[in-house]
Amino acid sequence: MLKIINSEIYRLLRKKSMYVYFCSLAAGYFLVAFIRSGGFGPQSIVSDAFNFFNFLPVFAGGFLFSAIYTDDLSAKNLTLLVGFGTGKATIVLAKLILTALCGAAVFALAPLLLYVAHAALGWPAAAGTMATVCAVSLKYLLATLGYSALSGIAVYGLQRTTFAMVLYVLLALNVVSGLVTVLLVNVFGERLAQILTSCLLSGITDRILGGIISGGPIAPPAVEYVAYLAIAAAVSIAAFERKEMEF
Amino acid sequence: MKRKPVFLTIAVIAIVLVAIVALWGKQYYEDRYVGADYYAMVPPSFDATPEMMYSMSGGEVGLGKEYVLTAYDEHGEAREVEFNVYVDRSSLPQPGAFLHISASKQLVVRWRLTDADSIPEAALAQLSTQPN
Amino acid sequence: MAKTVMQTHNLSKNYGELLALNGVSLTLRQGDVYGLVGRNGAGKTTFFKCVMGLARPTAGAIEIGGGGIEIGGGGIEIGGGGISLSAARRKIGFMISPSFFPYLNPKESLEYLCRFKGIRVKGEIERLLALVGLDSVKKPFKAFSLGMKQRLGVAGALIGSPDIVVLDEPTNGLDPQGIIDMRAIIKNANTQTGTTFIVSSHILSELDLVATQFGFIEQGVLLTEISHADLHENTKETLTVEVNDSKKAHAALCRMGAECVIEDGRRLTLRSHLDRPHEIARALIDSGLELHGLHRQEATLEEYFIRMIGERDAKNN
Repeated sequence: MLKIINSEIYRLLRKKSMYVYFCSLAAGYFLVAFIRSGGFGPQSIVSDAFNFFNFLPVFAGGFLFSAIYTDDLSAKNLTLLVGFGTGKATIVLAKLILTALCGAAVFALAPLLLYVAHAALGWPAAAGTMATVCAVSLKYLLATLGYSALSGIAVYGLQRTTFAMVLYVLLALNVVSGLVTVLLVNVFGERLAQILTSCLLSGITDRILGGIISGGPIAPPAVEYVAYLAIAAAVSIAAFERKEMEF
Repeated sequence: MKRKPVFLTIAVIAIVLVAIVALWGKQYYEDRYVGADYYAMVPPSFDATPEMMYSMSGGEVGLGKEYVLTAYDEHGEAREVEFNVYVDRSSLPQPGAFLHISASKQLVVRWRLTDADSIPEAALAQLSTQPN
Repeated sequence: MAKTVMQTHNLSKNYGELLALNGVSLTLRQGDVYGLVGRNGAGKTTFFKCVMGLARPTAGAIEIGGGGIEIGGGGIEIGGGGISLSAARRKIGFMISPSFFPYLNPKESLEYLCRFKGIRVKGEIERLLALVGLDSVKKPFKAFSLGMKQRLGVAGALIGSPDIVVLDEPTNGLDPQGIIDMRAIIKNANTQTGTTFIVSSHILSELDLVATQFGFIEQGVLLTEISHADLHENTKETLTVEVNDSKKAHAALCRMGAECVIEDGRRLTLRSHLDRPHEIARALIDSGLELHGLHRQEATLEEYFIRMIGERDAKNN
């Protein structure tokens, strides 16, 4: 598994478009921050964290998902991994760990970017404020990892790049959770649906963030979150085992 | 052979364009959305009965009230502010109510009710001499 | 006899109604360059997919290096010789439609493979790139021609000096020089490091110059396995004699020591005396036979293959 992660990190670091893409995102944020800097205050960085990190699962996570998962399909790299005798469970887990590592790097740099931008524009954030910003970033990192794990089922079960990518984007844009919520409200009524939607990935990550910021319980949503990942990984492995490699 | 100078020229033009857009955008944003603090009082004679509000094109927008007030900054400098309040979004400020208003060069960015104790002295002095 | 390094036992693979592989029992011996010959869609790639674990066999078994056996049908994998089939597959390098990440250059592509396979042999990448003639190429894979992709695919298959190398149609898309180079690469690796190859192609004459062993596959059935020497024995020159009585002619020719076979009532085939047609003609006429025709024939490898398919079809009908 370590060898897969090692080789994958090697090739991801050589994907030049990744640097161009993330630098463009950072430059775009700097530009928007500069334009809005006249209205900045001590808490602006927190509202920016909520407003901008909300888009990271789509824009940053989407790129990572494409680079880690769907690049493999288009380069037929999965055939190489399987043909070398690598277990399909090992591949699924290695990819999930790799997504967590790359996501952690991106979502660790995001608060740093906000800090640098706000400091450069005359509003350096206090340590407490930065802690909140980091917590918001963590929420979206967890969401990104969860969406990747769920979309991974399409990658392994269908081996169709476009379908997997569309599924990821729909999850990251909360289209899927929106549809599920509407369905739950219609089937179970508003009250029960509210409880059930809190068990969706977006609800779980919200509860984790709430727990961190306001000191509420983190363990129950954290366990639910891990269960999400475990179930998604198990379904991915089962789907991968059933599906023959496409050429 | 000629690719490098062409690329450099395009890059320089792009950087200049981005800088122009950034500076123009910053100015526009600040003129429109960055507000300074002002204080106002709803005149005691103001009729706060909701009435139908209309858009520029003449369409009905909803019940509310248009407020055109003289507001003062912390130094007592006056300016006229104008904003609409719709009953389905917030309750209408009543006659005699004090308002803390954030107003940019172009519009009122936000407002909230406040009390006389929270108003800077110079502004409060002007408000207390305000005619009905 | 050389050690068996890979063997399949009655390997079958169905795709719904389609029988892509039908009881294929193939034996690959150490040091062989095994040419798997078959028309497009004959089952060559499916066979490789099963061997590499990319498709699950419907029935039969695969044995690699005496190390692992996979029983088809239930998909059961059992260990053998101390290692599992998955572990045994790590001794195989393969190229089935060469594909690498589009943004990596040849060196980076091979470095990726080295890291993934845990190979840390200094100079291995440079050696292989020189071997396939891509040592000076710096552009990314997406800018490669088909021939360059094939070459890099072969380099990827050879990385880490695997015991067995599987190459599916490695000469596809190559120009004549590229085909010659590819043969040289296979020959060099085979003679210098003793690597065993199994190479598929639908062009028999290409494999003829490099393969030591052949397997002919048609509609999922392995028709025969034959050595290079035996194949040429079956395809060497013959003399065809057309007379009014083939039995009488057979007796006359046997008397003069010729090796001949009666094809039908009027035709015989001679495998000896090929350089003495005038003596044969005289012997036949002296025996009172009417000689209608005497001509030299050479079966090409392709004709041999087509004849085998014909024989199979006749047997089936």
